[in-house]
Amino acid sequence: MTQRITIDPITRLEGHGKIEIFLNDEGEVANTYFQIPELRGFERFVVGRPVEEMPLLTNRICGVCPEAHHMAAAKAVDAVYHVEVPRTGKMLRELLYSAFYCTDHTTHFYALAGPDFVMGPDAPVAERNILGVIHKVGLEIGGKVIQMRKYGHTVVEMIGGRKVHPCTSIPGGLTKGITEEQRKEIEEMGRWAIEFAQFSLKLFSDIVLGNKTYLDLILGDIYTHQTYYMGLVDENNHVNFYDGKVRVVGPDGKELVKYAPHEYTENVAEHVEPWTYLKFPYLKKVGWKGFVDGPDSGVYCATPLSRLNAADGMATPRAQEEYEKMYKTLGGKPVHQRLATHWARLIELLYAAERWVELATDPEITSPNYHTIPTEKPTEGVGIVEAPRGTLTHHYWTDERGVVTKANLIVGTTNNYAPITMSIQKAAKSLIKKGTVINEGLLNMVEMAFRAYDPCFGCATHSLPGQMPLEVTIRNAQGEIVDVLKQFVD
Amino acid sequence: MKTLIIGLGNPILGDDGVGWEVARRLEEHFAGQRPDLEFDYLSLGGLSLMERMIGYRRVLLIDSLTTGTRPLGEVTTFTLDDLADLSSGHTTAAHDTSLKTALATGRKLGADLPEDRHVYIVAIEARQVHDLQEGLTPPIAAAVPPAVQAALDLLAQINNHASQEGE
Repeated sequence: MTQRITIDPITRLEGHGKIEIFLNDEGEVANTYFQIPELRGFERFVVGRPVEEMPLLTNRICGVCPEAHHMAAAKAVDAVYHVEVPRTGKMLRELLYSAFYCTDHTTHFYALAGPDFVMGPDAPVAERNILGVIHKVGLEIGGKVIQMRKYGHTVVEMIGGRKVHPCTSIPGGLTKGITEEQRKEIEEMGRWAIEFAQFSLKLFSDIVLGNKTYLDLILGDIYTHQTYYMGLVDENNHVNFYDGKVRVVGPDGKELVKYAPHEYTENVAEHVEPWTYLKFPYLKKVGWKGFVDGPDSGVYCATPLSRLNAADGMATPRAQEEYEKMYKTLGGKPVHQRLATHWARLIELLYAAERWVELATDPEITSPNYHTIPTEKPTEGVGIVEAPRGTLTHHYWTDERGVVTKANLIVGTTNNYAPITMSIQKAAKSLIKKGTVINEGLLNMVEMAFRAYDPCFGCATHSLPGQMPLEVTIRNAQGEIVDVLKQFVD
Repeated sequence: MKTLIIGLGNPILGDDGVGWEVARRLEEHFAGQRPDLEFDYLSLGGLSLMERMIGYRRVLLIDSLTTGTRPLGEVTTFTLDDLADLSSGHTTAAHDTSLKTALATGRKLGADLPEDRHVYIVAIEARQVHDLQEGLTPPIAAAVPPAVQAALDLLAQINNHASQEGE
């Protein structure tokens, strides 16, 4: 008899996905499927609209990272108009983006990943949330998380004109700059953010690295995959979130390719599977060999850990120290253990905060030279930024009036669809053995496999303040439900 | 004490935009004659939504609901108190936490937030929430007037409660 286990969130709070685990007669995992519903009709929706609307429209296609879509769209629109953004304009955008990164990475660590480690994967569901974290490590920490978010939102609003959904990027730069008074305020908040990031790394070190069980979990084989890694780098091959070239390194850490945004179609292709709408991007030059590890498989990963693996270092001093410490502790580059992504995310948090202050203290940041008026005819353009969840590509084609005729997007999480699928399967196979009772802690360990990627299918934004209940359905070979388990906390 | 009315949803995601539309009609209905009401239009959840509620004693959320079991366009009203909190079992996609957990977190940290029983919800059952398009499908558009009425009834109740509680 084949058993089928479904992990299915039945509401769609921050988007939803579904995991199905099929067991064979022996009770071992035969296969796993991870399905993600995709937003449909984007291409049809944008055709016929003025391309300069794209930074406003696309930031509505995701409820979690509108700022990332705003930036990728802004860069693509610059490229469509063949216009170079002045230095101040670029810096202002990157400053906004750094503040956004601080907010986003903080939320992920404390609200989503933190609970697994701070409370432990076996902790009761009712405690495994941000409230549990606060309860365990103190009220002060919760206050800091809220403060960090507030500062991040404030900077986004100052430069982007609006909280969460910025609206100031236009072809060639921005619609407004910042005053000296605002600059001072931004700098002060940035300095606080650096301290907060250092505090977070210390917390990670004390709670996670200081706990042998967690360290073994991170270093263990369950959560390890040898794949290619992708990330945006600057001219020194240092991690950059806003600008640069896309660099890909192999499982051995050596550079496979480094390409400019407009060359992405020569480097990334998409594989289709019959059981899901979403496509699996892979490296064209290596080829699709299925959901397998190794140098011959074109599967790549684009996450905080991937970015660190794909770069030679961090562009800011404190983050560089932490970068070196991570690779030293985990045994050199590249790191293949997926749970180390949480550590990498905190190093990125520190980098983003340091970069925030660097940009806020640049003498040209308050210059009125933040926009270049486009003079060329619009044609086609690609914009790439690093979204927190992976390399984000926007590609638009327009007619000579600048009206969109075609659009293509590869969003952060999509890059990681194949590796997430592989991680779930490996974790399930390692953790579900013959005779094992499927309990909550165990299912959570399977979930942890993909939580490391910080997957976001929240392109459906928000929705009703319901929640994300888990429904586990076990079916026999005839498709009849044998048992239904639900993770409810009343 | 002002009551905050939030249209929740994504205006370019088909029927997911129904919350905005109902809130917009409600705002038009009052035509600025109710200084005790404040309106906002958001595509947020969890912590961000909680942060927006700071400083309000009562909040009315208008949103789409996708249970898949209720008739299309059915209007339901309830409070956050009535909603089971399943968030802690965050799963495949949650980048955030639930509103309920977010509110509890905020309160614990001393933020001035409404109690769960004072977070009122008008929900409209919808299906077409994954297709990028503007405008509502006919059954959901037809549900807008009853949803507006449900919101008006709720606001009247809220007023009664508030005066009973001496606010």
